[in-house]
Amino acid sequence: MQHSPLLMLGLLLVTALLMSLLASRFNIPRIAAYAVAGLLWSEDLLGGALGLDMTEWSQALTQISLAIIAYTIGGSITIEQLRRLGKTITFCTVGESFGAVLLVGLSVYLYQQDWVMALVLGVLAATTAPAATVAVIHQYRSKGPLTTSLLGVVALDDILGLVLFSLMMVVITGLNLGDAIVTSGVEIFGGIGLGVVIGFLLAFFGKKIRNQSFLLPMVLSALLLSQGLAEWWNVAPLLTAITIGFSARSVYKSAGERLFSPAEYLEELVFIIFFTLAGAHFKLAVFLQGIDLVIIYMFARVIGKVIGIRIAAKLSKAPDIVARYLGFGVVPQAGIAIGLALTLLHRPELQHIALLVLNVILASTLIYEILGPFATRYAIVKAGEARL
Amino acid sequence: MIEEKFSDITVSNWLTTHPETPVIVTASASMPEVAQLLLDNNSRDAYILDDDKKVVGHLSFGKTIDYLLSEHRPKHTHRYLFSRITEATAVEVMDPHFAYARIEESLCEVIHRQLERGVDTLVVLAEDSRLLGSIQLRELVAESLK
Repeated sequence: MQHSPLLMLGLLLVTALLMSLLASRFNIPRIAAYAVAGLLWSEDLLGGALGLDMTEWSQALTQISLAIIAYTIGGSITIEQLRRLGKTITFCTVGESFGAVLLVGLSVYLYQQDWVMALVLGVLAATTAPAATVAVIHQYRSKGPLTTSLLGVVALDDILGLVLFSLMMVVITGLNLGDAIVTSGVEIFGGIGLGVVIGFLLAFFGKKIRNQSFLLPMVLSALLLSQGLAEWWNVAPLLTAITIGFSARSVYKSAGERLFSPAEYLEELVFIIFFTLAGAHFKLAVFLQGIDLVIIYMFARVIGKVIGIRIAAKLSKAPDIVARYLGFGVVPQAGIAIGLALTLLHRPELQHIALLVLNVILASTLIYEILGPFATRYAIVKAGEARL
Repeated sequence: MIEEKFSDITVSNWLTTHPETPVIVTASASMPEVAQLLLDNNSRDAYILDDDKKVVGHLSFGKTIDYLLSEHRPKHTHRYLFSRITEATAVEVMDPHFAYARIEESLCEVIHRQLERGVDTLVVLAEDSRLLGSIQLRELVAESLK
């Protein structure tokens, strides 16, 4: 039976909102509610009974949603702010991101002997979830060197995670070895070039437009156009979106309120879309087949981040409490990882692993969402920065 | 009667009878410095001057304290987090797209702009963006009630 994509999307969103209302009454994380809402419409439950297929029509939606997130994250920092972040935050971000990427990648490779799977899961392990971390910090009125480093790292590693994912996609989807370098170069630098041009134009028109209600349509139009052009010219779409944000903010100067506030307003909607779509793609058989991968991924990611931060903190001569506890603060992982995993479903060369990876990320994200805040609490309490 | 009076007065005339200087900060001023100046002057608007003495942006009291008290707010956008931990300066938080008046305009036009943009202190700029003075909304209202 053929169902309208709009009907399916409407059902997903309405169910997610109702579930989140219910979840808030029982103090359950709302992203779990969104995922459960999607799960209700999965193939194993109502989706199968009603013959709903989300994969076919969700590609464009996932791509533009991820582009919105990449744009806001790209525009979240300026070169001057990057410079002022300091050695500790920069080193620790690189340390925990690459620690997780390497340990997850290595563990998955040793277990599965599949380098593509290892690379994909490894790179997906880099990102974290600022929302959960900020909520815990706010709850305990935490303040001090660990808290500052933690806030910096959870924000910065998402930028690194998105860039690493873009580069990984270029590598994995590259043609044969001979063309790979040229093709990859075109994809990467083409994406950056396209992003710079559109970002510059966005900042230019952002200053000219007087009517504030035009700002969101302008940003969305620019992002849609950029994604379309990236697809047409075969350049990295995610890298394009990040670069648009970064260059628009650099050209526009200041906090970029007019260019980024409207898009940030859409963040919750984007995460509802990510989690409901991921939930709708949940398959019990695939999950059971990958349950060992979930365990490997979860442990390797946390250990990789803890070790990575310890090494980086030593190199940057960070305070001892940062070296000891920061790794536990970066455990939460949520929307960005889900969004990135969703994009794999639409890459023909990754069809053999996409559904398994999505199910692994969804399951681990839900567990991290429950356990992550406890780990963050542990870190700030042990560092003596929480007000209990 | 009020309409007539307002339509007769230009910004240029107003500045001669009501000389006012807004709260001015440098681009590199820290946010606590901006907040202190606003408190000292009992003002809700600060304007940022660049090295050429041109007005390049506006900072409202609300935006200033939103930044200063960020640790008490569970906002988690990446942009907000970075400005919080990098101790942003005035030029990094200001709005470069701000309302201003020209000397040849009438007060009717000015009061509409001030109310629309929610600005208590509106700067008056020359063609090259140099500061000529400012107009206080409360003084305009007082004048209109005379």
